[in-house]
Amino acid sequence: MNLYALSAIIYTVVLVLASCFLFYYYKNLEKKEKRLHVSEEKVMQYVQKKSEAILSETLDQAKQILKSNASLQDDFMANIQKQIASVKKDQSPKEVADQIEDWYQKLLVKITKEHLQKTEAASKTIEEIASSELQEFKKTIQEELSHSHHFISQKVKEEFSASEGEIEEYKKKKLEEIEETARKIVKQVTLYAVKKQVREEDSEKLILEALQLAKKEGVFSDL
Amino acid sequence: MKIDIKSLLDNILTKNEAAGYIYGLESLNEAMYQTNTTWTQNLKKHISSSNYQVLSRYLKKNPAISQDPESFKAFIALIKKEIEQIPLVTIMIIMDPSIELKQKITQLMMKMLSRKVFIEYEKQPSLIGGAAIIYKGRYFDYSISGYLDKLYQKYL
Repeated sequence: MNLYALSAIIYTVVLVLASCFLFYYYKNLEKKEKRLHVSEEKVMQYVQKKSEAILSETLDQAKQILKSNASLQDDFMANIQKQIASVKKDQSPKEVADQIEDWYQKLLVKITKEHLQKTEAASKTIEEIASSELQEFKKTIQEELSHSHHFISQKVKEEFSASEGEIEEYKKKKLEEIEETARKIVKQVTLYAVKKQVREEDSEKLILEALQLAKKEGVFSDL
Repeated sequence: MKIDIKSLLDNILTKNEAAGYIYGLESLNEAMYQTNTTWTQNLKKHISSSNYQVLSRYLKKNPAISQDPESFKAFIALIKKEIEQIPLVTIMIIMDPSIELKQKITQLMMKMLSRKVFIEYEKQPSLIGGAAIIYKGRYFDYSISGYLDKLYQKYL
């Protein structure tokens, strides 16, 4: 709640209290008048003075409350002064209170209306700005998301390709290792099996056959 | 003097034996200058029993060689030359060869090549069987392991 609205509420409360007080005081005076037979003129003078004093005090308080809002304060002060000035000596306290109340209610309606208009305008502006910013934000988010999506999919694609290559390389390497191991095993098993099968007489025969084969293949061709 | 000295080397099968034979002949040649021993004594002393009979017979047929030290020196030079011309074949086999096997191999080589070769043997159990040959600095693999290697290269 801004200071403007706060001051308005406080002032309303003060005026209502003042009116109630004046009304109550007048009623008491009427009773006293009947009882004490005081003259009407004296009573009126007293009431007027009292009202002025109360209004003046209220005005002081309002001045203090509205100190921060100079223009409003000025307007208000001017109006208050005008209202005080317009109070006629022959007016009854009730009439004065009604007049001030009426003036104040009009002022309050006016202020409320202005305030509502300003608030509505401000709300509308805020709504428009918020809507515009929201749209902008949504657009930015969508763009960012789109960019991120593209970037991520690209990255994933790249990483996948790289991983695929690495996996292929790894598979190839592993297969080569397995083949090499298999070769070694086959060789060792074969050698073991053949060794077991070769007897001494076979060895001599194999040596002589090897030499014959060497001759046949021309190892000693220059001799 | 017509000398067929090839027959003198029939019992010499390796380079080492040939070197020992030459050393014996040179010792015999030096002994010819001594007067306290006979020729036969020197011959027995310096030449191995396997070659003694052959050389003794040969020298009886060719007496001029042992008549003086210089002639014998010329005879040694001829033998050295002959030995140098005999090629060396290294045969690698899985075991130490028996005398019978060595004879079989020598006979086979003589039959196949129609000439004398010095044969040296090297034990190589990893060959499994057959033989590998080193001749004139080149290696020829006719072993079972060599054959298996070729098979592996072809099919594995």
